[in-house]
Amino acid sequence: MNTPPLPACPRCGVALPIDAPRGLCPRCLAAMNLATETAFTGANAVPAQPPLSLTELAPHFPQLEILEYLGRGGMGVVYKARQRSLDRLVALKLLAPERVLDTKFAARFANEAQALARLNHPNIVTVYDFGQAGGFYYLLMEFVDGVNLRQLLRSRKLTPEEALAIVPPLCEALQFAHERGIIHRDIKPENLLLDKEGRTKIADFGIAKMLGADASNVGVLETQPAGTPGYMAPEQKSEPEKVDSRADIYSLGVVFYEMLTGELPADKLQPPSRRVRIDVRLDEIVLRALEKTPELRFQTAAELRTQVEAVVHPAMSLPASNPPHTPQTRNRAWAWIGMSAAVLAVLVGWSVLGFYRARRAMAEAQKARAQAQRVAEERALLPDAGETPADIADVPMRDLRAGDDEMKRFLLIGLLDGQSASKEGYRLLIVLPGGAGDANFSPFVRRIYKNVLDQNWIIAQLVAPQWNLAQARYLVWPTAGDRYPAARFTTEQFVATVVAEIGKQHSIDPRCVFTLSWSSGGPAAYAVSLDPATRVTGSFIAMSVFRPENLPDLAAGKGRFYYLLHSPTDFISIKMPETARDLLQAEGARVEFQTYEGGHGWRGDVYGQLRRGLEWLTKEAETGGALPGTAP
Amino acid sequence: MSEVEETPAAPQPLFVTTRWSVVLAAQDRSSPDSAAALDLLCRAYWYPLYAYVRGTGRAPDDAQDLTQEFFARLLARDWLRVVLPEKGRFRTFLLVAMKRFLTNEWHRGMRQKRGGGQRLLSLDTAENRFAAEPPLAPDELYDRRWAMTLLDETLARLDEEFQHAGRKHEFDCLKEWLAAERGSIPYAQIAVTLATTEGAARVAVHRLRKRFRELFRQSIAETVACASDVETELRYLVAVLSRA
Repeated sequence: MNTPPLPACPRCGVALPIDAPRGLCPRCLAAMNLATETAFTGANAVPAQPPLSLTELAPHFPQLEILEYLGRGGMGVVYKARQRSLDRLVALKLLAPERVLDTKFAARFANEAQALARLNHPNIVTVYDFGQAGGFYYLLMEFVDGVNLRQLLRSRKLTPEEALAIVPPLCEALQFAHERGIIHRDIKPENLLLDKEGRTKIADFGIAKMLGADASNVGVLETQPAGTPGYMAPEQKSEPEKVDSRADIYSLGVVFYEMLTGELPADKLQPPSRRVRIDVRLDEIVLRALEKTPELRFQTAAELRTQVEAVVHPAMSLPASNPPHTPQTRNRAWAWIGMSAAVLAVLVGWSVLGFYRARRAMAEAQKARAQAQRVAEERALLPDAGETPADIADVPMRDLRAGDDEMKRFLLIGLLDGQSASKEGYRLLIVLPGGAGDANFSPFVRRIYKNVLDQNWIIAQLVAPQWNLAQARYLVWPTAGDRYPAARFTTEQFVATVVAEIGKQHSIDPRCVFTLSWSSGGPAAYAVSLDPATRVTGSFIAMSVFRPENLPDLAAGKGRFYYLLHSPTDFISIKMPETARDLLQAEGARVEFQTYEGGHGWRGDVYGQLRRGLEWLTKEAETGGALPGTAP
Repeated sequence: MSEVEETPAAPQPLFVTTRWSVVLAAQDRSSPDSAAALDLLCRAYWYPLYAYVRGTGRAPDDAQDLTQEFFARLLARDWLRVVLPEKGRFRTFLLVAMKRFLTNEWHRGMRQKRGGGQRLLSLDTAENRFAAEPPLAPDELYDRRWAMTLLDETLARLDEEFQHAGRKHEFDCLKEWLAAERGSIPYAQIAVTLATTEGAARVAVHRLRKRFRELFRQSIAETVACASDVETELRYLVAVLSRA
């Protein structure tokens, strides 16, 4: 029976059985779940504590039909429900199970909740009801069908126009609440909701105070400042008892900064226009909202709103420092409108040719804007390299884009003092990291520089551009023989651009251009080393798949050097690197094969393994005459 | 500095009475419970056995008849009375019993009876599946199919649980990441798909893995006689799956 070859698992490279369970590779399923226990990594790790199931919850809320669990915030868990009597969707928030027996808390909860229920504003999530049930304090609130600003920011970068449209209604809502003596205390993207009509609503008013602060107990305040680090005003941390409405203005300033730049303001504050191309007038507004001293900030949310609107609609609300409704402002506004009308008349009077020219220019500008936005969106998908741990603070690193291509991002690591340490030039190590191939590996790569290499080396850590979810799932590093359809360039091209780019600035020893790769970076490293045009002379490939059917002719490996590292207990069969060794050696490549214990991952004497491999590659490359086939 | 962090798997307490233990306990008495349990087990695990019989070189028709007859005899409880040291594990019991069945001379005398009774198993698709099997020795093939059946069963249970909780969409989105390296999971993008936070996406993936492990162990538990065998059987099956 002649059957077509089966597709291979993109991770372990073994042929996927036709009836693979749910289309998943059985080997990987077993290796990823059954041989090891999953541990959390990263700051977002939350202890897994299951919320109450819908059926557990139902008996405590007979007036509701609990529909689904929506999520967990710092303040509690939220469910979607239907209020039977009014047949409307509501959000049920359960808070503070640990305070159920605290009578003082009960009284404060009731007071605050009553105040919140009186807060009726189109841009504030309405509180319908509150009480105690099922061992929880609960709030019954308006259900907002949409996303929160955090989700929106994660999905894409906002344009400055969008950011500017979001801020004024938030200011209105804050002003409304502040006038009624209610401070939010925890303004952050998670608490700002956008419904499907594009309306903005603030959620969780006053809950931070309800849970964390206690006017009668300064001790609690000092140890548990309410709010979220990063968004909290300085006085919220230092003098929480003195917090007033201006703290909310600071937090909104942080959100504004984040919407414009995609980052939180650093200690040493840089104006947003330094980070992104925006109207410089916004710098002043954002920096004023972020003043450390409350007295120097906008004193009211209304004032902030006026300033923002002045940038959005300059004709209507100049000058911004005055309240918008004085006769003087109106007159000026009318004067502006008159001028705009005159300009419009001139435009209409343009010749037909001028009109078309203008239209073409506009179309081009629009195209450029769309391009810039696409690049910004794609960049927003690339994770940041993160904080620099103290032990590698002295390892210089620059975040660069090769060939001016936003997607060809690489981190250049090493002492680049303008002159090479040896007359042959720098040895260049190009790292294609494993896993998702993202910038998060940069601390590890810098430690490699620090612990393994000397000033004769520089490292280029390539950051895998992930174009979309599907690619991230199947292929981190697309190559000529194993393309992802949406990929705009291959890893071979990426590596070539980076090598050329570095070569323009620094002298490179042509004998020592090596790649280092592991796990999902390995298949691409094999492909790069076999690209007839490549300048790569040697490859250090660890714990990787070898699939010759996706590679160019292995004969191109002749005269190149391969250092392969693999664990016999890796879920990726050791047969793969063994096959790679045998086939490449047969083609005239020089191959060294080493094993380590412990399975998939960097284990044991990691830097020792790296040092031995890189020393071997260097020695072989520099004395290349030992190679069969290259001897004169 | 490892890409995949590992901690030794902690044995989890098992309070389930295994299906296989129900069958064994009742082997000399007639009990509807044990008959039902055995029937369920056979329906779940018939294909590995079929693959084994085919792997030994028998023609499709013969293999279908033999598998059919084997299960008919097994369910008629004949074979449960046979004392086999392999009874501790359903997997090994079935295979050893089948080997005996195939080599035993008396089954030749049963030929005319075969196929006469009610069909227990749907063998129609079996041959299509077998055509795609890798070229392994019959015993290896049997073990591999057995392990994959357990994976199938586990995923089906997981799916069912999510469906029951009204979170089918979540399962459909998350299941692919069960087979992914931790470092390669784009939590931010999952969060967008599920309209949740990145933290919640991490938790969701973590819980899914955890539940997958629990259900896999449960599926294994149903095929061994005592809870202490689960760990050994799990390790054996993981080793089977990891062979290329």
